[in-house]
Amino acid sequence: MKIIKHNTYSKYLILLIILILTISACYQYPELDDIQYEDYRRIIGPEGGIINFYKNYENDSIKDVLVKMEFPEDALDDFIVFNMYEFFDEPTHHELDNMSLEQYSYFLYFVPFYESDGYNEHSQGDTNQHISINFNLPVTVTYNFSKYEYYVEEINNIDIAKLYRIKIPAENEWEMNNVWIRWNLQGYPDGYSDIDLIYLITGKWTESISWGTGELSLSNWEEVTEYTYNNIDQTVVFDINNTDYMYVMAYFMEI
Amino acid sequence: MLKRILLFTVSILIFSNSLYSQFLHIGLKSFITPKIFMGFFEYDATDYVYYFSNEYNETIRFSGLEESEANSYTPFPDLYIRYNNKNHLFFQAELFATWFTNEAKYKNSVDFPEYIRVFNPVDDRENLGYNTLKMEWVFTGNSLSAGFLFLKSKALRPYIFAGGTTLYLMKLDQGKFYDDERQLRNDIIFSNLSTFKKTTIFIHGGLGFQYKALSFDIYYRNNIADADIYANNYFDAEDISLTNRPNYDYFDSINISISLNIFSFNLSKNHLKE
Repeated sequence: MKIIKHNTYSKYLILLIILILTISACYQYPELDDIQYEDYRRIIGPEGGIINFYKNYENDSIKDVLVKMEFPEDALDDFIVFNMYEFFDEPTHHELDNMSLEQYSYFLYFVPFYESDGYNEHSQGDTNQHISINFNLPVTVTYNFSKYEYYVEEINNIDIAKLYRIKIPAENEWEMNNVWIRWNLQGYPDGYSDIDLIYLITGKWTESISWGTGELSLSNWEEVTEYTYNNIDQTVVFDINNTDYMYVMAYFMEI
Repeated sequence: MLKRILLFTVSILIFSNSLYSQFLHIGLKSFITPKIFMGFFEYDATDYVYYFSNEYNETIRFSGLEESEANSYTPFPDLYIRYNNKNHLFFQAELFATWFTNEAKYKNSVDFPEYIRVFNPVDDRENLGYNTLKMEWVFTGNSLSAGFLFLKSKALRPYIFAGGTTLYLMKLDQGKFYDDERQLRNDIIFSNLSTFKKTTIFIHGGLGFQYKALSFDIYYRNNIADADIYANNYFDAEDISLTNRPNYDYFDSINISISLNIFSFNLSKNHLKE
C-alpha cells in the first residue's frame, strides 16, 4: 500500500467519474427497419387488414408470400387466429390423375381459432371438430400456387386450369362424423386429419355417403365461378365467405 | 439524483478538515455474480403469444415468460473511493461494469424435428431460437455505500455495509448465432424484449471482512424501482397483448467481490501538522 500525502488526484478522479456516467447514458433501443410483427402475424380482428403467409426457407429473411388474405373492416366480429395449410397426398394425386383430373396446386385451406379460446395446447388424444366461422364481408385470398412442387412447366394447359373448392363439413353438419383437427407433439393444431381430407377429395365421403364408404368420384368438387388468374406470376385471387372449403387449381381432361 | 448525492458526498469527505483519523482510499475491485435473478411478469395464456404467419403456423408462447436465471464468473472491473472515519465508519463510491447472458424461454408450437428439417437441414447450427432466445447484457453502474467495521484492534476485521446502486444499460443484444437463418422472426421477438430501462435503481447490502488493504465481501442487489419501461402497463392497461408489453419484473443478483486499496490518503495527517 502506497501512502500519498496529497489528494490532488482525487479531484481528477471525480471529474473522470462524472464523464463516464454521462457517456454511460447512451444506450439506444434496437429498432426493426425491415419488418414488424404486424406484417408477420396471422391474427386479425374487426379492424381488418392483411395476413401474409410466408414460405419457409432455410433463411427466413427471404420474404416470399404464398398466401395473402385481405380482410375488410368489420369482416370479423372478434380476434381470429388463422392457420394456413397446403395439403398434398401422392396416392390421391395419382387417383385424381386416373379420373382425368390434373392437379396444379396443393389443396389450400384455413383452420381458424378464436383468440379468446386461448389457442390452448392439447394432448394428441384430444379431438376437436372443424369450427365454421362466417365472415360478415368477403375476404380476398391471393394464392401463389406456382410454389406447387408437382407443377410441370411443360404442360401448356395450365392456363385452362380452373379453381375448384371442396366442402369441409363442420360440427354436426353432415353426420356425427366430421372433420377432425390433428394435434402435433407439442399439442398444437397441425391441420385436419389427412384421411378425412382424402375421403373428401376422392368422394369416399359426401353429404349423402357415410365416411369412407363411397366410390372414387369428384362429387364434392365444385367449380368456383368468380376468380382472377394471373398467368404471369401464377396466382389466383378469389373471395371466401367462410373457412369451410379447401381450394385447388386443377384441369379436368374430358375424354 | 444519485449522481449528485455521490458527488456531494465525496466532495464533503475529501475537503473536510475538521475530522480526526480519516483515510481516503482509492482502489480496484473485482466482483463475480454467481446468481442473477431476472424475473418476468406473468401473463395469461393468450396474452403473450406470437402467431407467426409462416408455413408451419409457428406459435411462440411465453406463458408469462419463465424466470430466467443466469450467472457470471467473469471478474468484472470496479473502481472505488473509500473514506474511512475513526477506523469504524466508511463510505464508498464505486464505478463498475458488468455483463452477462441469459435466455428468454418460450414454447414453440412446431415439432422440433420439423423445425430442424426446414431451418437446420444439415444440423450445423444451434437451435436457432427454437424455444429460447439468448440475450447479451452490458451495464455500467455506480454505487454509494455506507459500512461499519468491527474489531478495531484486530488485523482481520469483519464489516457490514448497505447502499444504493444505479445501473446503466449499455447494450442488449441477441446471441450472435441467431443472426441469419431466423433473423426476421428472432428480431421480432427480441424487439419485444427490449423494454429494460436505460437506468435502473437498486439497493444493496452485504457483509465481508478486511485484512489491511484487502477486502472480501458478499452482497445482494435488489431493484427498488421499475425495471421495465412499460411496467405501469402491466397494472393499468386493458389490453397489453399486442403492444407496449412489459417484460421485466425484477432484476436481483448475488455478488462476491475482492478489493484492494491502491492509493491511500491520510486526510488527518495534514490537519494534525497544523
